[in-house]
Amino acid sequence: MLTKYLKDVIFSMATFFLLVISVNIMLFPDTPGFLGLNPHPYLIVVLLMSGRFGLKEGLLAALLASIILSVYVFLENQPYFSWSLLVEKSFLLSIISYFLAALIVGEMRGFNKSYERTLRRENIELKEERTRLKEQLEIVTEIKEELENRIIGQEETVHSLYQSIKALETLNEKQFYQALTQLTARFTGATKVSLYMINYSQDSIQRVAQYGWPDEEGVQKKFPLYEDIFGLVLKFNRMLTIKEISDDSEHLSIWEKCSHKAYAYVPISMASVIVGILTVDDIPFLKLNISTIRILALIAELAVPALKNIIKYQDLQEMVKIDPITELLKYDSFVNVAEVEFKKTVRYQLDFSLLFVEVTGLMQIKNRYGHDVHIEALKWISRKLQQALRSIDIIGLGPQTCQFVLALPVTNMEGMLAVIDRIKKLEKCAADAPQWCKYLHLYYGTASYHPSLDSLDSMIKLAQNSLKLNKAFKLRTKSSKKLRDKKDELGTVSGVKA
Amino acid sequence: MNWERYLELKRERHRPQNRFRPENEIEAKQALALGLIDIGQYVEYSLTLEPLLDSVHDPDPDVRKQAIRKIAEQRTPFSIRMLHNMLLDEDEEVRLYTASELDRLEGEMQKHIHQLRKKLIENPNQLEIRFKLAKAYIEYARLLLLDNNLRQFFLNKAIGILNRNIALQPNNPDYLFYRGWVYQMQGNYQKAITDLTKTIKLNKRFAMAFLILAEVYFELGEYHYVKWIMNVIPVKKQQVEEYNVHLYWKT
Repeated sequence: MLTKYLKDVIFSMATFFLLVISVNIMLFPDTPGFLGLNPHPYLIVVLLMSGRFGLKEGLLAALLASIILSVYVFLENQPYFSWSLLVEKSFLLSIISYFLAALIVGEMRGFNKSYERTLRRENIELKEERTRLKEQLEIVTEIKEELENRIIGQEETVHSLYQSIKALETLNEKQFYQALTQLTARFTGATKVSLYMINYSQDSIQRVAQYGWPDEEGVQKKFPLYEDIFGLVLKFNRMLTIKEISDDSEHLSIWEKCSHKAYAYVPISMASVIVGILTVDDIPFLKLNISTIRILALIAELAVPALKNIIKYQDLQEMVKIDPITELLKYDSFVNVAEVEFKKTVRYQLDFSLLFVEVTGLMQIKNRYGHDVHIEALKWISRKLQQALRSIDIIGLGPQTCQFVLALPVTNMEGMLAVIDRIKKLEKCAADAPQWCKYLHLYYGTASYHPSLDSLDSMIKLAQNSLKLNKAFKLRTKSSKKLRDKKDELGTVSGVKA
Repeated sequence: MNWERYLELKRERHRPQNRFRPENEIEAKQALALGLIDIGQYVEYSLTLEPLLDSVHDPDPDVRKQAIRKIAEQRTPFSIRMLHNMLLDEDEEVRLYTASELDRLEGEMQKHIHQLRKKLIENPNQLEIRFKLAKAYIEYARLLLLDNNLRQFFLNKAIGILNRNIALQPNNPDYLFYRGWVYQMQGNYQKAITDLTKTIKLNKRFAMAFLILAEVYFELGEYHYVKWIMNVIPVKKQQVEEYNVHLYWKT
């Protein structure tokens, strides 16, 4: 079967030769085969063939041209043809010119053809690359649109969420709770959010902040910890949403019965212990999606360091206010708290008393038993003083070492004396009284509120004076007693102590 | 053959490629479209962008304006709620821009409604114009009307228009869907279920109808129906929010 290319070669060669032969017959009938003409016109056919198709085709055309020319030589010299005619110079020159032309032009064409082939191959490669790029562009455009939608759709990014939660670290505990609910609403699109903090000592969970609720009355509401839906959250120790709750009919019925229904319960865990639960109480249907769930998990995770910092800061603040040994308020903090009570007393004309207690003998205990017992003695005294007080009374360290101050709101002089009696009883009758207890002596300085006293300072001064007088009186009494005892000792005849 | 172009291509192929760094969001988008940066680079760049809500407090007033306008252009209940929250912002300028954007939005919507009404007076039997007017009422009520009575008034108007259209073409899924949606917004859930179910029967590829029907069941507390609907919803990945909802409820 002839290929298209071969057909083209045969057709072209036949056409060119027929054209030249027909030109010869019609225009130059006197010179059949253009014999004797040099350069021979068949050379045009050879040039065209080799120029169009290449070396092989050019050589074929040269061979055919040589044959046709030989035929013409044979026919022209009939019946005197001899083979020597074929080696004649003009004939040979024509033949050589055919083959030379075929060789040179054909080779050139061959070179061009190979170059063309390379270019075509490159062109195909470029086309393929273009198609590939086009396909890629379509994919990229599709992804880009999706990304654009996502970027436009999310008004906030993780970056800004992180920044916002970091900013919460500067707030105090209550402000932090409120801000956390606001932030949750802002980042999730929720319309109502609540925050509950767990109190394990009381087995309760308390609502500490709300966002989007019309009334603020029920904010500080307590619920039992291990009951209803909170119990489920603690049991599973992971985020529970309405989808998971509705998967189980039992859980759904618990959820339906509870008074604090929410679409998502997000536990806030600190060192694998749940310390709080953030709830999304109301959210538009479209906003309750996988992205929101991720954000909620992220908020719960990012809130933990902020909460930790806040608690640490508060602990530090407390440490500044409270004496670490006696666990009583330091004098400055005591004055601040007592000032509030004093102002209330002045405003409502109530009773108010101040009691200074000075303890002596602590140095003796330190010298005799050492530092540890001295500390123990201090703790013991503070414990005893606290036992003698009501919950509304305030106790703190005094301005000098070994001094304690007690503020007794709504207590008159009589009440204060009763307190002193209680302290004395506790001190003496203590079953757990250690052996060093005998070295301790307590002196009292008192002051009760009178309308003539315009400030707490004046009351403090009054109490301090009272303490001085009391101390001086007791010391004098002690020394006179000692003197009397001595006198008695010297005055006896037998020398035996009475 | 354009040899100059050919040689230029050859040269470019062997030239070391310098990474293009877009200066702003528009440049980044164009660069991605032209293939100068790839998806990874685009994502990397977009993550470094300042979030829209943070731009609201940018020191540059133009950036602030642009951010507020972008939020307004989203025209979703969430973005409008955000704008309303911004009216209480500490920054006076933010409050001012927000108020002007809300005014602009309201003005545009009212103008659109007015134009449609004028057209409807000229061609009272044009179903398409009537439908457009109903849609405009719904959008106006859904997005901008906070007062419940006023909202109900416009939603009722939309229902009236849609009823007339449905009387003429009872099997048009678009008309039925919008009426169902209005019923859902009004809290008339049974009627909403009827209309939306019919819409889905008529057009099984109507993703929004599935979504609103799921929302109706969500509000009724019928969560198993919500899950069932969200499993069969024909939602595309490009519809990001809807797709995320589908992913959440999918079992």
